[in-house]
Amino acid sequence: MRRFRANSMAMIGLAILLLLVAVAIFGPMLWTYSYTDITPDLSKPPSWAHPLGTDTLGRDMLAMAMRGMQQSLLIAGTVALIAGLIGTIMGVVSGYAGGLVDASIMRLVDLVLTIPTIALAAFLGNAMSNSGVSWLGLSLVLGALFWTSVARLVRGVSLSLREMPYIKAAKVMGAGRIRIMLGHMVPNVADHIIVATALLVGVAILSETGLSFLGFGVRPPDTSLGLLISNAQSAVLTRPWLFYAPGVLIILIVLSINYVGEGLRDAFNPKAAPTNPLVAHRTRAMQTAAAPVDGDNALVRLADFRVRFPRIERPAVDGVNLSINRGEVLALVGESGSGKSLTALAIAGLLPIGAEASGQVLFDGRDMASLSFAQWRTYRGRRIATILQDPSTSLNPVLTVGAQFYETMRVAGPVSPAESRKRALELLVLMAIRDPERRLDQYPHQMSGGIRQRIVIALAMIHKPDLIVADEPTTALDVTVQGQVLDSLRVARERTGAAMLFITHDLALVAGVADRVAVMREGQVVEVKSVHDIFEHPEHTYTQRLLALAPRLDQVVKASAPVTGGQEPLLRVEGLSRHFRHPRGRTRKGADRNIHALCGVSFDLMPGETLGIVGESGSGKTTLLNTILGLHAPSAGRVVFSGEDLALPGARQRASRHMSVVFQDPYVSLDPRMTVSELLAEPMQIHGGGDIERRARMVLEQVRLPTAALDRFPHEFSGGQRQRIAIARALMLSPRLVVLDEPVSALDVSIQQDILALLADLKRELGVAYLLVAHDLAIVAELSDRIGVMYGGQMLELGEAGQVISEPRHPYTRVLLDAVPIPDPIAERERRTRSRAASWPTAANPLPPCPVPGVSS
Amino acid sequence: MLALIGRRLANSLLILVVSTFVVFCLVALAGDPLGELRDRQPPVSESVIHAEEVRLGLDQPIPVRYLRWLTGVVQGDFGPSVKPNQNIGKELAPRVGVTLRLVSVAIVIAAVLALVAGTFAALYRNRLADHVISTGVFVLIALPSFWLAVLLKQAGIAINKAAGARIFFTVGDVSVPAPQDWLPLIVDMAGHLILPTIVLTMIHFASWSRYQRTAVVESLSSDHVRFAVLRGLSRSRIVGAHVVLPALIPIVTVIALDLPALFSGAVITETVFQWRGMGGFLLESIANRDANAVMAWLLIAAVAVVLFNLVADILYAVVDPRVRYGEA
Repeated sequence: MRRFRANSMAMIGLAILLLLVAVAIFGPMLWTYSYTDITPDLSKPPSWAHPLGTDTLGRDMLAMAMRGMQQSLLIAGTVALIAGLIGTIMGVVSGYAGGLVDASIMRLVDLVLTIPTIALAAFLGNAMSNSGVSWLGLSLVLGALFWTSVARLVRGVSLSLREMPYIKAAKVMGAGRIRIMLGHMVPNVADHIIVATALLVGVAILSETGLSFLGFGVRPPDTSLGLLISNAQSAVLTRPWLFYAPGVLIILIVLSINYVGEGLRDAFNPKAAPTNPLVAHRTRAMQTAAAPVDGDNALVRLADFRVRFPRIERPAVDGVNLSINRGEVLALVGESGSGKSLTALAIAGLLPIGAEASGQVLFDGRDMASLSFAQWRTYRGRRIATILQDPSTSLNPVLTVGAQFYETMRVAGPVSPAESRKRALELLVLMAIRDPERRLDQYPHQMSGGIRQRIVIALAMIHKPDLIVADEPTTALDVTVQGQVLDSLRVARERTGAAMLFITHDLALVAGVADRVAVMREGQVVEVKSVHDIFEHPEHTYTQRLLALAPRLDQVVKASAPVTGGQEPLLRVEGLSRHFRHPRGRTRKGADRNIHALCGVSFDLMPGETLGIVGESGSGKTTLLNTILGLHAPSAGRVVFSGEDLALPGARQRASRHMSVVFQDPYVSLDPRMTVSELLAEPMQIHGGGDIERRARMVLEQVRLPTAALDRFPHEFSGGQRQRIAIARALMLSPRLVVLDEPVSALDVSIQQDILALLADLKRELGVAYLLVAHDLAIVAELSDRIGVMYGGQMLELGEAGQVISEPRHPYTRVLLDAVPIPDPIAERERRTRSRAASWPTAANPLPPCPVPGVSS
Repeated sequence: MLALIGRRLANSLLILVVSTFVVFCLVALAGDPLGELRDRQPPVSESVIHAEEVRLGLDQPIPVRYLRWLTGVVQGDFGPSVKPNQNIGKELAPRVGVTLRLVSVAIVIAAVLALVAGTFAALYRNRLADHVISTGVFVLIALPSFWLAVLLKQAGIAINKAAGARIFFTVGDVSVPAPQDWLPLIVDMAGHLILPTIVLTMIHFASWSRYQRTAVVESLSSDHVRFAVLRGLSRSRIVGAHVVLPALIPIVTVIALDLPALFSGAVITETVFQWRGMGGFLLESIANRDANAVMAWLLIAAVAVVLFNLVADILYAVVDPRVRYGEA
């Protein structure tokens, strides 16, 4: 609420609103005249006796206005309550249930939305009784027509909530529908409901007064603000007080409600301050720079560069000194929050609004401080090219790729479309993009992430820049695609002769890319060295730690304890398949519309065993997991847990006692409105049994968190601590199986190792079985007894961890292994000269087709 | 694309049928169209009332009445009116054109204004231009349309009086008698349109421009705009192709959703300016509890809403290639 109080317009609105409500409630009791009183003063302008004047019958305008306000506020408030209630129920049910229920509720909304409210309300109100409609009747009619706006909003939020891991976690726990809707969904949409309902009061006032104005709302002898205006229609010029007073009151009420509503919305949903890259960043004062040393070969030189944000103690970038020589590749390595991206953005002139920078940024000997937007344009694109992290968002979705090439070509002067096309084609060929002609006429959404990122690189090459800034260019991509994109970057650099600033969190990746490496931590550069030296003789303890943490697949020797055979498997998956149907589109017809998300997957998981499943995006690993957890129904096949088929009625509920899950992102897998003790209590409330309090303290100890954590909310913890809370919740019922869905991929490298170590300890201590799913082979290898490799919904290889890593049988596993970067410059560069593993699948050796039962393919 | 339109059309037709049925039931259950006849003093004889019931079909159960009404509508007959000699279709037909004229002009102007004002406010977010536009828009949203209409009408009258000439038309949708030639006719109609259009435009442009502002603010912080800046594109190119173009998608939705409110607004505006449009017809029918007439009015409004929504769907496909290729 502090944010609401800081919003002056909202506070003024609230004050005015409260004042008007008070006047409407208490005014009539205190004022001399009643709204029905007829005084001898006819048509008097405002005076002390009648502050708002009187009308032609001699009625006191102030009394009537107060009565009108009373009526309007009463009706509008009731309408908002009714509409808010109906809308919430409809919206939550629609959003949670989805499918047919959702479709029919949304059709109902469409239906109500085709009706002009005023027409139907007027008719219903008029037809209900001869003497006009009562305030309650009017409220009911309007409420029944206005709920749609709330319902649409709540449904939208609920739909996205439904996909939130904390809702999924509750389902896996075995929570019922009512519990999920009332316990998790309503509290999390509550702020949206409050805002929508508040704004609805304003809409309702306008509608009610409109109806009364037309003669179908409140009727004489009672009065309403709309009716007062209607009566004064012809008196605007002769007796203006009669017309302006009620109008201004309506405007005041609605205006203050809207400001309060907006204030509430902003207070509830603090969004990161939106940026505007069109506004040049000018907070950094031009410094009287010491003339750069002559003969300095540096292309970029940062001297004592600092960035700080208002009201934040620690500077985000704290005195960085760095230089990049011409043609050199400098890698900037650091974890999130280390200031590496801000440093890169500063070189391209795009610091976020509010950042205060100081120190020097020299590009080619020129200080880049306080360049105007137009001056920056002579650098951007032409001399400094930038590649952003996420290729799925860096291209404009509504322009063709060809158009985006054309506009970039024209930055340096006029180019004919034909010439632009020719050069774009050459660049795409250089980037090893197949079928470049067709790609130019396509939109970004029609291509894979890898191709998009290579197009972004091609765009960066157009003007042969002096410097390419690549900000985590492969982080959003799959590991096998990562190699191709790195190759493309290498080509781009060689062709243009540009220097490159390569920013990454992954030290291993740097080995094969960089000439020099700078390691950043908490805004400072802790070590700068040539790539060989940094891997051979790391000096700073932080660098040493990062190197020690980097998993070395090539050195993994797995001495996995063979799982004792002959036991009954804890989890058995038999021929599990899941097919989705693509929506009809002009590009897909018939059998093409089937997506084989999961195709005949079978395996056994023994008690106490860890099975790791590795695959890239689209491999079906997440679908497999969701199907085992009961979040999707399988199209074919069975899931058997402790000898019981989970498709049988009640079996899922029984199994949910012994099976729990830890999701990828701890920022969204814990309900933000629950304290840690409530979060931990939930599984036991559902399944009953035991002293919740004692058990909660015990599991917190097991995950190495202090018991003081119990009364706090998830947002008060760091990412690693939250993941510990999620693990603690998974352990509450002493499960036999914990499903781990990418448990560390959302965390920083140094925290990843802590969590992995914790998971390994817990496994030893508790003898729990893990089903681990991840895209990172190194993480799977570290924890698993056996490893399964998935691609295109199929399990290609399943074997002992040591065997899969050192003697892979399937060609795809070899591709996957080969793509993992080695944190050793010599080994990595050697490997590059050796050709990469033959790619798979190929035309000659395709992915086997997936038979769909009941559907001809 | 054609398949998309076809599917939407079929969907809309279904919604129309269901929605008319629901509204028909509501209207039929809400009250007795003959209530006034029954209460009349001296009492009207039973036989007259019964004859009236049969003429209006009130002796039949509601589903039968609906079917009869629906088959009639398909053949262009909107059913009997409470007023014995009124043909609903003939009475309503010329009025539809009058109202659509007002609504269409208002939509186009309000949409253009909202685009410009919203984009401008977003580009200069938290600067003077934004504060001026945003405050103005907030006041406009809070203005009751009928109050603004009355105010403008009276102001028009006052100006006419002061100037001693007719500068603003304040009554009616066209002069009586209407000019014969088409050019003077259009000029005359346009003159009558000015004040009502200002009312309708102001009220709706205001809330639309808020949405446009939000959309542009969001669009400005998106990665592809940052990338466009980093590629060194010119300011005008970035604003036009990278900021505004993708931000057109939300505003189309908002306008489409707001159409019924526009019809409600048109009713009020027409009443104040005494147009012979759909608004007057509606109010009169409501006062008479003329169920069939109100049904006819609601049907026409609903058809108009559905048609405008179809236009919105087509606009989506034009603006967003993801819709065009059936992926979103």
